[in-house]
Amino acid sequence: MSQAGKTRKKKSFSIGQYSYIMIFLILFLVYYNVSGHLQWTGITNILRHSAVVGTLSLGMGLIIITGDIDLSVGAILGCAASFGCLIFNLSDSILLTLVFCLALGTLLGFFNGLMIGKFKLPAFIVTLATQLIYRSVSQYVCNVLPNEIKGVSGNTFKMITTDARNAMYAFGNGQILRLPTCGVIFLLLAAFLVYVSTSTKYGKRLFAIGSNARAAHMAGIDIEWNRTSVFTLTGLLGGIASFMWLAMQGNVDPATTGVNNEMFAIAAVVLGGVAMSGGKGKLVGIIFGTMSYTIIDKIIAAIKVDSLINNAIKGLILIVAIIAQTCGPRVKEFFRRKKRERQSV
Amino acid sequence: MDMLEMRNIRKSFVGVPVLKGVGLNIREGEVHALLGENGAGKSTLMNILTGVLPLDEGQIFFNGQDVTGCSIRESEALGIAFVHQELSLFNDLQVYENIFFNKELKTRFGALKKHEMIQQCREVFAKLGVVIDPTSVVADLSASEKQTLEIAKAIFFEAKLLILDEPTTALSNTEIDRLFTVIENLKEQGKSFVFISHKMPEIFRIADRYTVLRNGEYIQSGSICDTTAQEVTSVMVGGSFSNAVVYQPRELGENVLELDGLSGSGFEDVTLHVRKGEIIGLTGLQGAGVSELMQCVFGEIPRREGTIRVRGTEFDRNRIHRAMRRGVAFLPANRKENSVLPDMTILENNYISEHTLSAARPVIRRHREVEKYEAMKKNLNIKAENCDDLVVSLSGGNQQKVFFSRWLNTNAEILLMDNPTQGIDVGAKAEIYRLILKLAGQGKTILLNTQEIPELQRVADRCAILYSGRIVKILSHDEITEHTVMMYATNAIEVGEGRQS
Repeated sequence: MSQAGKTRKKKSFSIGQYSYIMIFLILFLVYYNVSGHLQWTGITNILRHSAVVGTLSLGMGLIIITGDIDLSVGAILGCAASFGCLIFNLSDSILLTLVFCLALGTLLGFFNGLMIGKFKLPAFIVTLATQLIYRSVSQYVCNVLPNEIKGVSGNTFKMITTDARNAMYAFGNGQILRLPTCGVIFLLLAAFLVYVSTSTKYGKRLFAIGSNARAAHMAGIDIEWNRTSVFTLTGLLGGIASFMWLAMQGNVDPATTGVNNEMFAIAAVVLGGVAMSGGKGKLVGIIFGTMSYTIIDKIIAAIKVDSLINNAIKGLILIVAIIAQTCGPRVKEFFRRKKRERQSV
Repeated sequence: MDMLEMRNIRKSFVGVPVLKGVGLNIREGEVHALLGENGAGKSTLMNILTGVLPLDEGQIFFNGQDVTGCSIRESEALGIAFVHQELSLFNDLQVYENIFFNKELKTRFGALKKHEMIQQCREVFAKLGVVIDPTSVVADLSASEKQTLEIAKAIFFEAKLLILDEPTTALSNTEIDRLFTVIENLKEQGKSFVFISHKMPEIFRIADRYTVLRNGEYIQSGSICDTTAQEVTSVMVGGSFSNAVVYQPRELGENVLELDGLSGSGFEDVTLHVRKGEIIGLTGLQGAGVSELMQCVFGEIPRREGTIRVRGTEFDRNRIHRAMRRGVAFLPANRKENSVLPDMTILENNYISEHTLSAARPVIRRHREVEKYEAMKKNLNIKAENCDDLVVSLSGGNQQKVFFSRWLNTNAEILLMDNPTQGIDVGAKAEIYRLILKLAGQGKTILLNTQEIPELQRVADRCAILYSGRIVKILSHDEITEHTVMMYATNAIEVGEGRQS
């Protein structure tokens, strides 16, 4: 153990590495100031409203670590939630709905994974295609179904009001230890996946694939299976997110639920300090990345600006974060050189 | 007068001096070997010369003119050209497009004058004695043709001094001959070369003078004809080096690896039985199929016919994982592409392969991994500060040792090594070979692909020579000489015999 202790040296701290915490804190302070007196629920609502996108972002994070991308997570959310709602209206069973959401999400993710991992098709194209497919299918089915099953007239799904529906809604909007239930589920998932990514052999394999897929293959890692598995896992997370969505909202619009969520997920991952090239980054950052985006929504709402400007601000913040991450080291090097020059003069 | 004179060059990175007053003089029309181990400061010196890095102190004169601190562009304009180890060609463009890249000949309206460019290429190639079609696509060229193309590119724009950084690494022996002919031609036309290489035979063939650097210091320079490879090597490593990789015959065990009639893409009907603890040198010209054969045994490329048996059991399907389970390990050539996980630490690079075998226990127990690594570190003499540093922070030789360790970690009994000393300096090379002998002594069976015959002479129990995919001869240890191996590798023997009959 003494030997092990000797080789464990503390890593040098650099701000660029933890820029996601800085951004989160800055945004939080801005929110704190503009919102007047911030209540406890105001704070916990950040977590609550991060739960769905955050869960998707975790999967996206794992995929980006392997050097791929998944543009279909938003569509998986919409599709699984739509059909989940349908199953609920038919069965009036929470358990069956839960199982169905998870199973459908997993299946949709597995299909992505099969195409990308096994058949070696480019992830960008495959998931772009499945995004269109998954969403279009749910919209089509929604359109042809009779209103009794959809629970509402029009092109959306609504959970039919029953005791079970009320119980599920209460669960989705309930609290554990004064924290929103869905937020807690998100944090638990995040903690679990952070553990998987840092302390398990599976996690390290994902980093290895993202770092140098050829070398990972030559080191004996089954790239095909690992790629398939990570997309499947993301599908499962999409399924979990879709159940949370149902429990929180009680209705789904196949045309809009989850739209752009893949973009927010990618942005949250990047904001969290994971490199798009793969192999680098920490999943922890994604928690902060997602919550930063939620706070932006809340700031906009608090200062009563038209919410249509939301995405412009989110985009700007993303650019600032990228600049901080990529230019940070360069700026530091510049100052270090200046300092050396001063010393040598 | 000297063409280039670098005086008392000093350079530090973040306070660490890497060049401590180095000088370099190069005459017109000479090939000047710049020698030194990895990290001796050769690349830094050349980067300063070409303006890639600024210098801290010192002076540079080129043709009598003070050019200290010139930029990349200015040094190019002066006629100094750096031909990099990793070629900077565009594979998808044609030869002439590469040569004229960013310097295209254009008409008044901006249209390209293709015919004129192609014609000029032909003229230059003819002058160099190069046979390359200017309109062929670079991706279709052989390694040596690409290398020559780089040189031609420099010559085209009136380079007077060319820096060749390990130009022969990716070349076969015949290709090296071709490259050297081109260099000789240019030398006669008054061009000078800085030749950076770790291969002594080449240096003694092509270079006129040499300069040795060690740890950022100038050690000595002189004429190649006044020295010996032995002397230069000991000057480079600073006396501590001895050639004492001593081969001793070992007690060999039963057959552990049996290849019978193995065929696949690149090799035909290979039959080879290897005994436990044996070191087999596999050699042949570039493209003879040695590398492909190894990849097939490891399960990376499919086999068409024949059997692979490890300790009596036959491989049913060719998959990397199955080979690993049976104790076969493969250290691929081209470390950077096939072995290095650049974003991961030394420790992670070390355990990654073993973890694919022990995936049933999913959680990493760090302290055990560190213990295992420390043991390997000692056994293999890996020089690394901290196992949490990135693997790319190590020198080439130490990286390679980490990959040795990666495979030893899997408890592999049969180690396939494809060119394990590629891009490694002299001192580390000797260490790698000492290590190979040590591992064989510990009962590991080793198949070694290398084209460096002196190295084979030192370690191999037997040497199998391949010629266009077939084993043409298996030599015992005592029979291995440069001459014999080359005879079989170039298939000169068969030609001779054919003529007699």
